[in-house]
Amino acid sequence: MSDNILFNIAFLGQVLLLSRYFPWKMLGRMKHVFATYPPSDYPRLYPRPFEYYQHAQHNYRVINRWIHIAGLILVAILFITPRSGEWDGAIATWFFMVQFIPLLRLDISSFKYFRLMREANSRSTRKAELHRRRLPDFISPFFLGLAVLTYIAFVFFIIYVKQFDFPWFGGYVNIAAMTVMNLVFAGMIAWSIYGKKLNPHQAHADRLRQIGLSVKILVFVSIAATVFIMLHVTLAAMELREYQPVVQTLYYQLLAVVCYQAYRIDHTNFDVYKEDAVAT
Amino acid sequence: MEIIIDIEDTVPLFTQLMDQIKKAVLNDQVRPGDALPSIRQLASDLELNNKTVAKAYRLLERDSVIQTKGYRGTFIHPDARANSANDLNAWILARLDKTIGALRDSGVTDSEIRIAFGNVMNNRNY
Repeated sequence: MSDNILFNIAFLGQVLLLSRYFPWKMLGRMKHVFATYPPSDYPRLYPRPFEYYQHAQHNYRVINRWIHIAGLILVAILFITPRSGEWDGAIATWFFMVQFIPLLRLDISSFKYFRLMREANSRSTRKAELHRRRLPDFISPFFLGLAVLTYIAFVFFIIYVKQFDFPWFGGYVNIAAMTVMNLVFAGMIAWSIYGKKLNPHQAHADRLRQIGLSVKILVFVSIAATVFIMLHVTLAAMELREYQPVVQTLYYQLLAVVCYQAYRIDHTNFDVYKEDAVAT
Repeated sequence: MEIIIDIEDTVPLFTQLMDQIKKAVLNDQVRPGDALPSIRQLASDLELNNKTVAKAYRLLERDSVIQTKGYRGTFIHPDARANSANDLNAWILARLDKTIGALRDSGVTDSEIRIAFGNVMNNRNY
């Protein structure tokens, strides 16, 4: 019973953090950008009519509000309904995926946004830094080493647990899944360092900062995911399954805290979006 | 150090790239041993074809301004400063000017010079 209450409280945290706090912060940033960098002074920031972006902001607010309300209703149901708790983990996971839909929509539309920016870019000059970008420029070898060590520890951990023949244990599938995830992350890191510049106006310093942030987030998520799976398996092996959903929802909240760092605009140079700005 | 390419300039893109790297060497903005971006990175940043950057790098390597060290990448050549000062195009123009002048003095017409030059360039028997 107490673990149900613990999960309910942790899940309430997930609902509030991902569907209230972060969307509210994002909307605040959008509002700040619209007010401080209007289309009249920063035309390159808006390849489409300004109303389109206001509409997108409105949609983002509405979708999040509905998810927030749905989440609160779900939490209320969880509080008043007696249950065994076996579905709590699934509830946290499915709701987490729903909570990420608005952000995913924004991410997908950003590709289209940058494509329109590139098409509208009439400048004939292009700039590049005569400096080789390398992985250690963006993340300390310590963190990178930590990610590798965590993965190796994970492999040994799975091999060790496999000896006990737990009926619920997936075995080497865990290693395969984690390897695929890390390979995808490695590809994403390579793409962000060496890949095409999506935003044609982005200042060089902003680009480096963004690459650094992406690399750090991906490495951190890799470490967190590995630790999470190990913790998940350990709890199951120690017959403490009732705490798994709590760990799960806290893990999702941690992921959200990390992922939302990618949307910070504190040091972004918006002068590059002015009409008379020089090419970047 | 920034490289700026103008895609509407009449100067070929690879020449713009070469000139700017040489200028960077002469101005001490890059020094011998400094690592240069990979062909792919520079092509991607400048939104150019990989072959354009590869051509510029190949010609700079020929002029000993840069050197490629296998998988480790491309670096500024130890003698880059001295070699960047050599303007191969100016040298070609001076040599051709001298040769054409001598031919004209001998009474050869411009038309004959052009045909002969074309034949030599095309490796024809004459």
